[in-house]
Amino acid sequence: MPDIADLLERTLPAAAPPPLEAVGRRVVRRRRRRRGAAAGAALAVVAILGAGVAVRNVGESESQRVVTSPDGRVLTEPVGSWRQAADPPFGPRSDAFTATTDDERILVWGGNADRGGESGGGEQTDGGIYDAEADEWDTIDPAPFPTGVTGTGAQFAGGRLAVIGWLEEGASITRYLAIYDVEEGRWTTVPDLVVGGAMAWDGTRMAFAEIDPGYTDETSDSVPRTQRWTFGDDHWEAGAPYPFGLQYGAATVANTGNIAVWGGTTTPPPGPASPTSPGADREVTDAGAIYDVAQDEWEPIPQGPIGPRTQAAVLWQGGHLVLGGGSRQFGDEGPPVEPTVAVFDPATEAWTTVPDPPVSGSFDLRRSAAGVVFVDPYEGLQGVAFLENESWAEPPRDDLNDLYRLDGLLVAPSNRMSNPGNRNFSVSIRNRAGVWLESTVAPFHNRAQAAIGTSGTRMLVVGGFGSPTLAWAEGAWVFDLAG
Amino acid sequence: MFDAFCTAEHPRLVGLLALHVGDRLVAEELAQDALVRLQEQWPKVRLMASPHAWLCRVGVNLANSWWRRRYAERRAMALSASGQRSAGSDDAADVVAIRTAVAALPRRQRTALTLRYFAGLSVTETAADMRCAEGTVKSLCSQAIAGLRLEFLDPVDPVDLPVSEVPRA
Repeated sequence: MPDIADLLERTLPAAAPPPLEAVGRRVVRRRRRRRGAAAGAALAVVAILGAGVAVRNVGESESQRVVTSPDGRVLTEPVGSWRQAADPPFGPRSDAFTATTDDERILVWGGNADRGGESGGGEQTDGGIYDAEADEWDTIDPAPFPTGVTGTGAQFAGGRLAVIGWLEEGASITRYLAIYDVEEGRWTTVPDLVVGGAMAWDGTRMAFAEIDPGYTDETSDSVPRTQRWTFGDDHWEAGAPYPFGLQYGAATVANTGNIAVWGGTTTPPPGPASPTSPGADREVTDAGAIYDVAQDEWEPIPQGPIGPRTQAAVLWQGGHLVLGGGSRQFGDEGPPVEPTVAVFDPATEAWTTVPDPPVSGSFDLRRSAAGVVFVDPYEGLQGVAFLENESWAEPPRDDLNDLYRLDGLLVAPSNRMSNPGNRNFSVSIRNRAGVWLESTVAPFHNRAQAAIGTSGTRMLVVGGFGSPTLAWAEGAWVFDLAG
Repeated sequence: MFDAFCTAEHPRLVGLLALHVGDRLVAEELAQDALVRLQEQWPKVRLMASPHAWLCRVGVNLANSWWRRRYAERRAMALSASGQRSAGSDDAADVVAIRTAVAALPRRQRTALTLRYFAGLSVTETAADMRCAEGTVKSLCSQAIAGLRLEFLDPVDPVDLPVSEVPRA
């Protein structure tokens, strides 16, 4: 190959000064955010002692009620305004999927409207797209699924909504898939899918990876399977082989471009699982890999600092893989959950450990807003953290249920079942680490499991269960932070 | 020392990433991402046997990461739209064609080829970066060159031709 190097060398750009100034600015910003995180931790004590006072800062008097947003904008409380939105083109439901379209509209799809006694599981497959500027809805017709699907899931990317519905009949599961093109306003049916597992969808390609077939299937001859489909094709193709074997109880998570699998237990060679305690004789592993949907490749994850775990919590956060919790040993009576969390950066192939999260017992990790990890414990307190800072930036708060971004600010709507005092719906707005403002109180009762969508400075609240009776909530409301 | 290293490495890093993503502007954004990581880890990286190999690996990983690539594409589009930079129009057509052909190769072939023949890493260094056997690197490079013949250099076999006779796209 005498000339291949010369051929490639021809593409070498002319020497240009590296963007050292921009690099330096970005490094300084990242360091500043880390310092902000540390300051936030210091604020925790103050915020807890000052329960009931939403706006508080170290060095400020208690009467200080005006603070400045990160971009210099002055915020006073209560902030924002509420208005009733046009009625949605679908009936009441809970837990609908939401996404923001490329033209800043809010897409709402699916959800559950199980009223008991009705046919099917109550899973809905229709929806709407809300234009907050014009206060208008476009209808999303029901997906081309059979009636009575018993579960649904969705992902939105590249202007297309990918949805899955499934029917469980005994041990058998039939899966249905469809793509809704927002611009064209129509559904496209996807060929039948064989494998289950996590779904990744990047707007053009879809992939499923079934590395953990579930304990019900542990005596079968299952093998790890990956399937990939490209929009417009009439069939699925087998994806690249997973580099390891089956991993029961593996932490699995997908985003629009990747599927990550890590940990769990391996099949013991040879022989069936223990009949009294399935899986108890299995070895817990720290094997894992990341599947690239576009490239159809699995990249093994190098060993990290937290060791083998099963049933670990996992999420994607800004291109980083966050792993934590889980147990070192399989079994219901196993050791307590490991509190440690670590972050894997596929770019540098480096692991970073972070301090233990401010929770006790089992917990889940949920990505609720860019740059923020929301810890959802099964017991104990709750907390939030700015992952890029590699530390837990916020004091624990037991009244945070979910997190979103509005106009660059972190907001936490009161979208929860527990509502002591039958308060109306409200939104907590994070002004900076440890400093939260309250929104103007909404003119409607608190809701639980409502669909929350955001666009710019606006937040859409639709559906859910209304407090205090937890009856189906009608209509939709818009909160405008700039109002 | 850091500035000098960046100045020396930057053109080749941009070139390497442009071969991976097929777009010079996106490559510049990804290179900036890699330099941010480099500065943050410079005390450790500067003591490594080959900081050059480390930077190449991080850059290629960033290019291979769908998320990072997408962010870089958005930033490149924004810069281009704001008129701060031209949209790579200063690259000759044959350069663009070579980048496009290389970027279209399967990822591991592309990585092996560019690390070996553009970044100048040895087979051992390339194998270490890709966490594979040295024989695999050689095999991937052969496949990549064969792919370039089919996708870009066909029907003539330009690998054996002087560079000046490479067909123009």
